[in-house]
Amino acid sequence: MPDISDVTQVMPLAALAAAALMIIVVDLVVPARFARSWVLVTAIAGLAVVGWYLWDLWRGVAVLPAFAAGELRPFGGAVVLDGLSVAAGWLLLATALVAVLLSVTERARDMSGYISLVLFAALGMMVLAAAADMMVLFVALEVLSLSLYALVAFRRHDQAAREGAFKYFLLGSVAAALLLYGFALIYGVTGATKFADVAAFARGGAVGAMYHAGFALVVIGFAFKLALAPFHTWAPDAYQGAPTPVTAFMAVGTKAAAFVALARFLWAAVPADPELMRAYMIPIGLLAAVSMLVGSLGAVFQTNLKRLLAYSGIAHAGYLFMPLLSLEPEGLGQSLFYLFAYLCMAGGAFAVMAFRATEAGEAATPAQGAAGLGSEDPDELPAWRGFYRRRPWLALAMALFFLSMAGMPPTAGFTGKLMLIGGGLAAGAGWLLAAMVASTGISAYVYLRVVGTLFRAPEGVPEAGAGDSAAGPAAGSQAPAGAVGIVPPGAAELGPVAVAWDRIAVGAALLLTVAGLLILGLFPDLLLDGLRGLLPLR
Amino acid sequence: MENGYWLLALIPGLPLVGAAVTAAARNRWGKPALAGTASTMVGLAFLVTVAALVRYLDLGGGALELSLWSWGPAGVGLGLLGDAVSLWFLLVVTGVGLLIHIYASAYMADDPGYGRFFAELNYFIFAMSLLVLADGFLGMLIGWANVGLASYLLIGFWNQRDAAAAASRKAFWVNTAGEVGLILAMAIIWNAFGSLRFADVLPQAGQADPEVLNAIALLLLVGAVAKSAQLPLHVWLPDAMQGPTPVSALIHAATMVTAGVYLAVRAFPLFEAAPVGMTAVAVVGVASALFGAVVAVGQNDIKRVLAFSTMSQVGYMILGAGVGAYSAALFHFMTHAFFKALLFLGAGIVIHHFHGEQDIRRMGGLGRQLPFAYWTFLIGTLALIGVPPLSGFFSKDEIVVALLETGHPWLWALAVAAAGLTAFYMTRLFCLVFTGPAPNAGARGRAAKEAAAARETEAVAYWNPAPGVHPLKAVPVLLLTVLSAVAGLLSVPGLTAVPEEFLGRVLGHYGAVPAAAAAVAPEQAKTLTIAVLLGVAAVAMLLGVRLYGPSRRAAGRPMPLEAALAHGFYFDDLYRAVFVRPLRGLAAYVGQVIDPQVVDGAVNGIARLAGTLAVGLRHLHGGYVRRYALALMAGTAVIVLYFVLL
Repeated sequence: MPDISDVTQVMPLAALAAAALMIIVVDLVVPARFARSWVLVTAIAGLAVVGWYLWDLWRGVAVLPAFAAGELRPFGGAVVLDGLSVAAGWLLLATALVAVLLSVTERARDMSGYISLVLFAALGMMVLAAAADMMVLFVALEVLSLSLYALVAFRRHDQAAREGAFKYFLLGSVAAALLLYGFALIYGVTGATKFADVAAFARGGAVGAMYHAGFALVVIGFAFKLALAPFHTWAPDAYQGAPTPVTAFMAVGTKAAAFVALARFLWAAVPADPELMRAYMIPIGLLAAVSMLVGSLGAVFQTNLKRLLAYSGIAHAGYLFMPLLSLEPEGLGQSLFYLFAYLCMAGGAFAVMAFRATEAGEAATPAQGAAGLGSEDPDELPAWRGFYRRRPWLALAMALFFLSMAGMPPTAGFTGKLMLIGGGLAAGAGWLLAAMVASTGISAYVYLRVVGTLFRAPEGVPEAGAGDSAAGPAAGSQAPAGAVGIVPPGAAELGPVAVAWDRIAVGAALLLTVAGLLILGLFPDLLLDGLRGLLPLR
Repeated sequence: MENGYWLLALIPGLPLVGAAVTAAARNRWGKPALAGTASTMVGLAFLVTVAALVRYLDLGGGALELSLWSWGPAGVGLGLLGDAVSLWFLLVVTGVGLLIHIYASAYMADDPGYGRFFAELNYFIFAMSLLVLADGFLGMLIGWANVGLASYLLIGFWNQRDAAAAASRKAFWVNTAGEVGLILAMAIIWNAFGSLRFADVLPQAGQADPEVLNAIALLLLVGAVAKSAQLPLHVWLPDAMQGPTPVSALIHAATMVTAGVYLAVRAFPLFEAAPVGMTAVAVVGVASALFGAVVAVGQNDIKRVLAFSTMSQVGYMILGAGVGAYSAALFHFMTHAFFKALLFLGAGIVIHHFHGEQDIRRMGGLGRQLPFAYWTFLIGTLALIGVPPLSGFFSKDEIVVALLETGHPWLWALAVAAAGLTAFYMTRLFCLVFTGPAPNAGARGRAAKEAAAARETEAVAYWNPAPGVHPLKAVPVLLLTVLSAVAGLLSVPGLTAVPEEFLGRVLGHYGAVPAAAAAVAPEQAKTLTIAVLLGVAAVAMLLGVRLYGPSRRAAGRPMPLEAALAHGFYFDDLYRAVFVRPLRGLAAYVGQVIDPQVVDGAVNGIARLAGTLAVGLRHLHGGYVRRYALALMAGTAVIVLYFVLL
């Protein structure tokens, strides 16, 4: 039976849940005028408390040998707090922080609902990364998914949001069903839901077709959450429809949590027999390879930056699996390092986009909207032409993020790719390396195109009323999915003070990501040493 | 061993900050502020160098170290190493650098690119100090490449002149060729030793395979030869004189061109361990020393004479390193930095006086008009020739003596011959510029000259040591004159041996060369060498004065091999025929045939393939959720089927 000591062991998770609930309460208690700021402050304070407890846990690695060995298993072993949980916890906490900081720019009417959903999603991710039981894992996955379905649809009046959320929900439900079915099959064969018991069974070697099928379905369920091709189809629509902070959160957080959970599952459920192990890992390697190629090729013709980043995320999810194929524990550290790098690159790119959206919101006064100006979707690539002229520092940061994704030294993207390649070679995944090289080459074209757009001279801004001359650029920038410029409801009455806070928050997120990008690129030892304390890492 | 001596980081750091600040403020601040900032940064770097030197001497053994950066995934790092060799170089780089900054603040006063000039000059000091401070080949390469870039920028400083632009490109190409050698050497070193840090590589230099060591030594030598303008990669140096004269003084005489000497001395265990290493170094050195001296005789541009002279003198240093006389080589580096910088700065004054004229045949009689330039240039000339008790005598003497001591009579003979030629061409230069009749300047020229003289003395009512010369130019020249005169006293045979003792902490004494190799006893070698050197120099100087002195006996008479000498034995034409023309042809062929048809064809083909695939993918993503579901279910079916059939 769980008792109070179990709860004390999972304090970071408990604190996150408490913060999410607290936000709803705050909204009820605080006068409506202040609700928005109070909600945001509560969210950030809540994350700080989570960090405080995580720090406690982290120090525990040095103090408690049992901890490092993964023996801290509260709730009868349903959750495990080991080095991997803590490392993933830091990553997810940082992701959530970036998402909340960017959310300051959101003008949702129901701010408390929005933010608490973000924190609930974060809670789902953290539990997912620490789950040691199939049932807990599924519940965590559903907490995360349901929150995100709602968040994607949060701009109720935006057709792209509704469309993305619908597709995401529909396909996600199917995937969840497949996952659950897989768990059921495995439970049917092994009679166990805990990973430890499944592992004991799998090591026993008596695995049959039913076990195989169960394993396959679970992998597919995870592949959906990770957006591995061909289970990636929801991602571009959902990314495009979601508010930018949510997109950032989904892109990094979901990927990281699902990756860690899948890694845990693989370690437990893949049979020890080397023949079988290889056979089990081949489809996973293929999924990774196909994702790399589909992700990079799919990005080629994208004109919407969010969709482009969605495809790039698909490719990056594929990269993550390179060091994992031989199921050596060292590989996990390399993948986690890359996830940290990916947080900096993608999170940073979304931060710039969020900032851009606030500017577009300011410019898009109703008068301009009536004149057909300012309705340009800021996520569309042509709208970024000449960005360097207007916002040189932001454009440089954006270029840095995209160059890092292309793997340019001395950024985190380069270091991370180098480590993935090293891990991939150690894992004997030469063919996956070939796919990665091809994918990186194609993506480089995509990323450099974005960087080039930033520095290109802007096309002549059409004069009001000169409808014909505006046809060229305007036609290119019409959003295919009918996205329209979002005049944030209530932006006007929030006034310039709120806008200043927007910039401070986004600036903080940018500072975090740029610093992380350069630190991981120039001084990777700082993070590597930290990860080494948590994970077996070369 | 003192780790974390953070002051070391200031030595390259301050000039870097200075470069950034002056570059940012170049159009906003006035000239005094720009020059003041740049000079202050270099001056502070010099003070820090002195402080580091004091600390280093306090330590007794061991070196100052500072780890800047390490990059775990590849096991590389970057750190600074302050030991006798690097501090010795730094004293000159920052010290002479400071003097030349001050000189340039007056010399460049009329240039519209004033701020840019000082930013680039500071950037050079940063790069050069990083080069000599790096604790491994990686950091040295970073400094090396940055120095090359600074040199490129400064040679082409007057980039509206075609000749300057061409010269800067040429220098960059040759230096890049050297860098390729250096990088290849680093790759082999990494492979053989598993590290690029000096502290890891050099102590175990002898343990590698001799073939590997040969390759390393020869490739490093390529880098050194390119940077130090040694045969056969010297062709960029004479053209580099297109840069402003302070640049020629600082970069292409005192500091940068000696980077090859630094490399040869720093990596001496690698050269000594390689069977052909030392021989190759010595041969390159003596060939360059002699070649430079011969060609300098036939040059008529004052800066080109000095450029070939630099090549020749750096050849001496390389030669010294090639026979194991490391401290002698570095001593000569220091004295040469003093007197060659002095000569270039003096040449700058001369050129300004003749308002841009650089042909020494059209000069003369300057001794009466500018006594300050006359006397300082004379000291520099005599120091370079090696007249006792000036500095060049002691340092050059030390190298030449070492040749005999270590049993290389042929090298000794060639070095002596080069010394004789040195005495001859410097006497020729000096006589043509400072003695004889003054050239007939037209009325317009005279007016320009007066205007220039007025400007020179304008700001200087209160004190002027050198009439007709701006004091900001005169003071550095005066200091360099003193240094050129007295620096030799650091190493008077039998009395002082400062360089040997100081540098010996790192390098060991050159006496460590096996005694069996010594053909001549040290005492005899010294006496013989000094006597022969002085005799040869005296004869050459007398000849020079007789031919080119006030009576100008040689005027109008053709010099033997005149055309060949003037063209530096046609090295440029050789390279043009062997490299430039064939490569141009190849480039044209590639550009007109291979690239559009073969490469573009392949690239376009791949791009088209990717495009086709992407279009196909887009069809899959038509936006209909049923297609998405189809993809999902198809994928599921395939994977489940695979596992079930397993």
